[in-house]
Order: sequence, then structure tokens, then C-alpha cells
Amino acid sequence: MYHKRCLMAAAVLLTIVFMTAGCWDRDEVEELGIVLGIAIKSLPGERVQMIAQFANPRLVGGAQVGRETPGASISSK
Amino acid sequence: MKSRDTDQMDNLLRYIDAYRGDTAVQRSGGSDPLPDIPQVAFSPVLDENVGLIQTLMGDNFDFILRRVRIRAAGGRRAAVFFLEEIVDTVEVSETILEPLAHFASFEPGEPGQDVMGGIVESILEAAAVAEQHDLRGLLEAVSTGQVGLLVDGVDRALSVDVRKYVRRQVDIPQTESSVRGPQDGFTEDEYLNLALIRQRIRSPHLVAESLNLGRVTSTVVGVVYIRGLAAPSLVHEVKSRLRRLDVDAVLESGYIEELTKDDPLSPFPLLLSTERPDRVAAGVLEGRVAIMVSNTPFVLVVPTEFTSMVSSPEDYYVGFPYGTIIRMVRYLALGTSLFLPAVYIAITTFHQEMLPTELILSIASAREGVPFPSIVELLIMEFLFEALREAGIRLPRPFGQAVSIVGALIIGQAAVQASLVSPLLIIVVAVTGIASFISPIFSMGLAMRFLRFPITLLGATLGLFGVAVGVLAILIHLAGLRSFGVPFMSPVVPANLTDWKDTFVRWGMWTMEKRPSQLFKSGRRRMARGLKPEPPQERFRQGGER
Repeated sequence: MYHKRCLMAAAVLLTIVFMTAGCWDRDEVEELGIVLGIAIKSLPGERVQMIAQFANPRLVGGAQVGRETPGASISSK
Repeated sequence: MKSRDTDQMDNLLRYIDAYRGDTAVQRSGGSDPLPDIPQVAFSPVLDENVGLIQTLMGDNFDFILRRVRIRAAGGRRAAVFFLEEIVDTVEVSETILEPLAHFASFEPGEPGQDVMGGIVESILEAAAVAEQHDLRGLLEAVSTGQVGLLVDGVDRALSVDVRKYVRRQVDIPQTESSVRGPQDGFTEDEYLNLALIRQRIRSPHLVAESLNLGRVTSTVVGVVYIRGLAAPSLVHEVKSRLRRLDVDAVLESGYIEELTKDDPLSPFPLLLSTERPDRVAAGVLEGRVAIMVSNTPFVLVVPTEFTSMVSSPEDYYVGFPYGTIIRMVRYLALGTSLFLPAVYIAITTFHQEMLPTELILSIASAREGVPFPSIVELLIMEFLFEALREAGIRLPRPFGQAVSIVGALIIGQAAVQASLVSPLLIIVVAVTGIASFISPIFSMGLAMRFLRFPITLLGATLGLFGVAVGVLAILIHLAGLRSFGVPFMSPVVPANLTDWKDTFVRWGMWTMEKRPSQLFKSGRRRMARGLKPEPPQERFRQGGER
């Protein structure tokens, strides 16, 4: 009986662990959008423009630094 | 004269039939197909006995039977027989055949003395002679390389121990080499191995008992300890665990290790197996028991602790600061070999915020173009590495170089260029591989190799949380282990702080005054007080003395 309850508890705990910390929130590094810089600009008429600079892993790092623009900028209004 | 009774005779005939394959083997108890050699007394007629021996052993092509006449006994007939290649044939002729043929008389001719007694006392020159009263004992003795001697008119036999087994010279230990320290390693010959211990511990207190294990192989297993230092209960426990082993064969000490482990399912080795005589000597001097198995250079030392698996005899030879540093490096490497791949995967796939931006960018750019998730990548590389390692061991020597070139190319370059794996991961696998070679005890290295995979999987599914769970699980497991009753983690847990001088660190020789507390309750002092060396008060200069 005690044994059975231990097993049950272990099963429940394992389920909780996998639900809360399991591999569903796994992200490979190269799939991340790494924001290197953000700029916010005020536009006329209660509007702001935000510009974010993302790293482009293909171009950053290693020997390629500085050869091309190491990032892409996306802006939205 | 005693004659054989009919019961014995029946048994014998049945056995001979079975031996020749004429009838199905008479199964004595259960389903054991090994026939029992019947305990048959000898006949006083030489030819009868010889005929029997011929029937039972004559088919072996290394069997030699030589009939002689004993000159000292008035030309009485006798027979000498043995298995050629496991006895010293020179010694057979010098200590048995020649004396039998040439000695003119029994020296102090006691009137009523039996011929057998006379032969033993004044003719045979070999050291170890035993009298055999029945057929089984004689056959067993001859199979172990003794020489059998039957004399006409006597219903007993003699077995003379002149065995000479094939032995290898003492060589450098293959798996535990050292720079400073003795360079001799154990061999396959248990007598030679015992000699290596006896030369180190030249004390009458050193006891070497032997048991024969293996129903078929009858392997010699030596139990070596120092009487007075080893706890009698421990010696008793070791011997009773060994006696319990009713198996066909004991071909290596691994058989014994696996069959006497306190926790058979644990990946950790609970018996220290070593090729180094100095290591065994040190263990025996601490009150441990060594188990030597014939035909293997690996000697077991029990009980043992986790900390002694991570230490090497060299730690004690090179001075304590270096010993301490080397030990710390070893523990660090141990941790690396267990946890580095898991931590790498966990951080790069779950906890990227822990990494500096530059590092994460370089990892990302290194992984660019690799189609697999990191864990698959890692498993591919680990598999390649383990396969190469195994191939390196098994391959015939001449191919070794070819494999290492191919391996270096595949692992080093081609895999990266083909975008199968990222260069960073190769560094991780390589560092892990190097770290896993650092274990001074081979079986401990194996445990680490094995445990790395579950930990890596935990890291890949649950992140650092999973790694922490893995660490905890291993610690809990370790804390519960025992080696022949002694806690495996002692003296760390249960803690004995004074013994920590010789665990993660190796403190000065003069501070390690006491024998390990987990093995000694009292009588722990092993050296005099105040051995720390000091410079003398005066200067010694030739010619300056007053």
C-alpha cells in the first residue's frame, strides 16, 4: 500500500515536472531573435516609432564580424 | 589389506562408462551434468591402479605415464604420471625419477617403516608432497599440475607439487601507469602477485589464505590481509562471501566483483580493482583485505571508498602540495566528464539568458546551418567518440593509426564542414572525453562514462533543473552505498573531519597520523607524534667544529 502510494506520488510529481519544465519551452540558440539595440523615436501626433536591431547569426561571430552589417533593423510605427 | 567394496566399484564402473560416453551420464543431484568422480580407494595392485588412471586420463595428449623401479625398495615397481606442460619436467626427472631409480637405500632404515613413508622422507627431493587416499583426490591433484606417484603393494598414492604454470614477466601496469613510483604491475600468476606484495610488506603478520572457486575451473583465489590490522569480522565476511560463490568458472576478478558487490545494481564499482602492487600494499596496511584471483592482473581491495577511487598512489609520492592540486584537478575533471555536456545543452537550449551576449551570438553563428537540435548533435558526437574509443582498444595494433587518422578527420573537420555538428560542440565532447580519461581506476571511469548519458538526457529535457535532479539522485545513491559494510562515501559522509586530510586534498604526511576511522575504532595511530621535519639547531660545517 505504502509502495503504491509512493509510485503514485512519483508519477504525479514527474508529470508536474515535465509539464512545468519540460522540453516544450526548449529553444535552440539560432532560432532566438537576439535584440542588440532598441531605439524609440517620437513622431508628430502622439505616435512613437520603435526600431529594434536583431543579430543575424549568419553574419555575427567568428571571422565574419564587421564584414557586413551584423544585424537587421526592423521598425514599426 | 583393505579392498574396495562393491558399492564403490559400481560407482566407478558407472563413472568410467560415462567418461567414455558409453552410457548417459549418471546424474547425481538435480541437473548437474558434471559427473562426480567416485571416491574410490586404491588397490594394492599397481597395474589395477595404473589401468584405472590410464582409462580416465590416458586420452589427453599431454598426459605422460612413466613406469619405474624403486631401487631403494628392492626394485619394487612404481608409476609416475603427470600432465606435461603444467609441470616442471626438469624438476620431475631431477627430484622424482632420478632419486627413485638411483638411491640405493632408505637412509635411516627404520625396520617397520612403510615404503611410502620411506619414499617421502628419504627419496623425493621436491618440497611439497602430499599423500592421496582416493582416486578423486589424486585426479584433482594431477589436473592442477602435480605429479602422481603410485607404488606397487601400497593402496595409497603420492602427489608431488612441481607445477610450473605459464607466466608472464612482471611488466608496467597497463591501465595505471605513473611517473614517480614503482613501475611493476601484477601479472596473471597469483604466486608472483603475492610475491610482489610480500616484497613490500615483509612482515610475518601478512596472511595469504587461499580458496578454490569455480566448480569446474577450481580457480585459486587468494585472500590477503594483515592479521591485527584487518578486522576479523571483515576477513570473515570476505571469506564467507567468496565461499558462497558456487559457479562453474571464475575467469577474472570481475566475476567476483559482480557477485559480491553490496549493491549489484549500482554503476559505481564497490570493490577497488587495481594492477598496482603498491596500491594493494597501501590498502592492506590500512586494514583492508585484498582478493587475488588467479589468471588476472586485477586484484580487488575491499572495503573501498569513493575517495580512494579518485586518488592515485602517486599522490603520496610527489609531496603534498602537488598531491593536493592533482587531486583537485581530478575531482574537477570528474565533474566535467559527468556534467559538461548536460550543462552545455541545458544552458544553450533553456537558459540562454545566462550567457554573455557575445558568447550566445558565437554559439548561434556556429550552429547556423546545423539541421539537428543540440541534443541530437551531441548524441551523434558522443556515439562517434565512444565508437572510436572502443575501436581503438579492440583493433589489431597495425590498424590503430588508420583509425586515429580517420577519427580525427571525421570528428575534427568533415563533420563540421558537412554541417552535421557545430564546432563548439566538438570542443564540449572533446573536453568531456579527455576529462573522462582522468580517473585513476578504470572501473570508476566506466561508471562516469555510463552516468553521463542519463544526466545529459535530463539536461536536455528539463534544463538545469534536470541536471540538479540528476546530481541529487547520484548523491542520494552514493550516500546509501556500502562496500563490504563500510559506507562508500566515508569519511566524507558519515563525516570524520580529521580524516578529510586525505580525501579531496592530500595533506602533509606527518599530519596523517591515524589509520582511517571507518576501518578502525581504536589503535588508529600509525606513526609517532611530531614527525614534522625541522632544520637542526646548529650548522654542520667540516673543519668548523670546536
